Formats: sequence, structure tokens, C-alpha cells
Amino acid sequence: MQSLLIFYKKLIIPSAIFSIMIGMTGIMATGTFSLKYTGLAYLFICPMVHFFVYDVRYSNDYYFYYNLGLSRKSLWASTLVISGIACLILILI
Amino acid sequence: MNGLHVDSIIKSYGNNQVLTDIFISCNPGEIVGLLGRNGSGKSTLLKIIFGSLNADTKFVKVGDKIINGVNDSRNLINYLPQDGFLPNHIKIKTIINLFCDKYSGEIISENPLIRPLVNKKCNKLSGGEKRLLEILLITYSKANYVLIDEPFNGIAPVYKDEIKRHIQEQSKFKGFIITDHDYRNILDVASRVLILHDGAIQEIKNREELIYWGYLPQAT
Repeated sequence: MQSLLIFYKKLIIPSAIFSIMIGMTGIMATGTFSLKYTGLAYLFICPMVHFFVYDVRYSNDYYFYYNLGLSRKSLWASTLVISGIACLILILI
Repeated sequence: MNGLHVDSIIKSYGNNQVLTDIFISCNPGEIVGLLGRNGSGKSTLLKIIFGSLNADTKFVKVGDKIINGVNDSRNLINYLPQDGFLPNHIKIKTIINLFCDKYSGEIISENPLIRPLVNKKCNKLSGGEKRLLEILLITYSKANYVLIDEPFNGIAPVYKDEIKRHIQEQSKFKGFIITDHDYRNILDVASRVLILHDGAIQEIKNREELIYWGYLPQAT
């Protein structure tokens, strides 16, 4: 569990920043900040950040997690699940 | 503890067959040195054994457990790639606690080279410091078998003896497969030496055989 948190730590801030920026563009459409747009953006932005950070920029970091028993598939699955849950929470608020 | 058995490894990149029906075994207490020219497939072989790279065919098992991927090799096989693997954003002491049990963690934390670095994040370390830490982490990790790709690369000569000493100490409890171009240190530390030549493994008994298999030049 701690290893997953360490993995996700690198993704959460950039994903949140980009998602909030996209959510703020909702102000132009609706006149108010939209958590729904932010949540939907997070659903797509987080996997994109995962791809850029771990598959392109720091691909050797995967070996750190492989040595802790986490495969690339399981790390991708966790990213998709966590971003899905975050999206649902933000939509339902 | 049960032996590491690697069999029937075939790997091709396009039309180039790099590994041809490779067989390797390693038991606790053994340090297997793996030599080979650049591009001979040493790193490829280690990655296949670890489970992070697919092969055309392979059979890897530790005891009765068959290793297909990295999920299966947890606490059985650990691998240190030649380019390093530590994430930049975590503190050294967190990494030590993740990789090692309490006793081994204390050995690493109390090492005079590592002690000043324990509260730092990995991005504050020099390349050589990072490499030394990675080698100690993987050597003292919980895994039964440790695969190390070029441990002596980028390490000051004065620390190479220390690395060999740690590997030899831990080899009482686990098996090692080590590859490096610094063949003298490999010959020094290994209990058995293999060479990867033309996609096949040959056992090396003495230095002359390294010349015979084209790893060392004739005049050496």
C-alpha cells in the first residue's frame, strides 16, 4: 500500500492542477467553478500524466515498483481506478 | 530455500536471435558471474529471469514456484538495472524501510557512506552515491535471489571492495547473478563464471577461456 502511495505521489499534484485549470474554464460556460468538469478532466488527465511521467520521462522508476511486486499492469489499473473514484466523488459532490 | 532454475530461454529482436535456449541455475550461497560483450544479451537475460521482459520462450522457477512476471517474483527475485531505479521524490530512509527488514535496514543506514544521506531525497544524491545505495538496497533486500546489472559501473575503486564484501556476506543467505564489464572484480567475487557468447552460455574455468571465447584480446 505504501508503495502505491509513493507511486501516486508523483501524479496527484500535476493531475490536480491541470484538472482544476480545466474546471475553471467551466466558469466561461456556466459562470461558476464546476467540480463536475474538474472531475471529468481528472479522469483523463491523470492517466495522461501517468503515461508522461512513468512511461516516457522516468521509465526506469518502474523497476523500483517491480522489485516491490507491483507490475506495470497493476500500476496502470490503480491509476485508472483511483482517477475513476476521484471523478465520481467530484461529480457527486 | 529452493534453487533458481532458468531454462529454455529464447529471445529475438526482429530477425536477430539474441538468446538461444539458455540454461542457468543458481543456488543459495552461489555468486554466478555473467560476462559477455556489449550487445550479447546479458541485460536482456537478467530482465527475462526477473520477469520484466517477455521472451519467445522461457521457463523460470524458484523451488516449485514458476515465475512468469514481476508479480510472481516478489520477495523471490530482485533486479538492479544498469541505469538505476530509485525515484527522485522519496527520502532514503523510506526506501530502506520498504526494501529491507529491520536488521538489514539498520546495516544499510549505519553504513558510513549512507548514514549522512538517510534523511535526504534521492534527487540530492550524486550518481555514484545513488548507485552505491541501490547496490546495498538490492543486496540486503528480502529477495532470495538478486540479479545485479553492472554493479561496479560508476563506482570509485575504493568502494568496489566494500561492495564485494557485502555481496559475499549476503551470499551466505541468498544467490546472486552479477554481470559487469569489470571482469577482474567479477572473477574475484564469483563462485562460478559464465560467458554469453553468440546467444549461448558457456562455463568459464580460467582466464584463458575468456580469450578463447573472444571476450578478452589475445595479447592480454
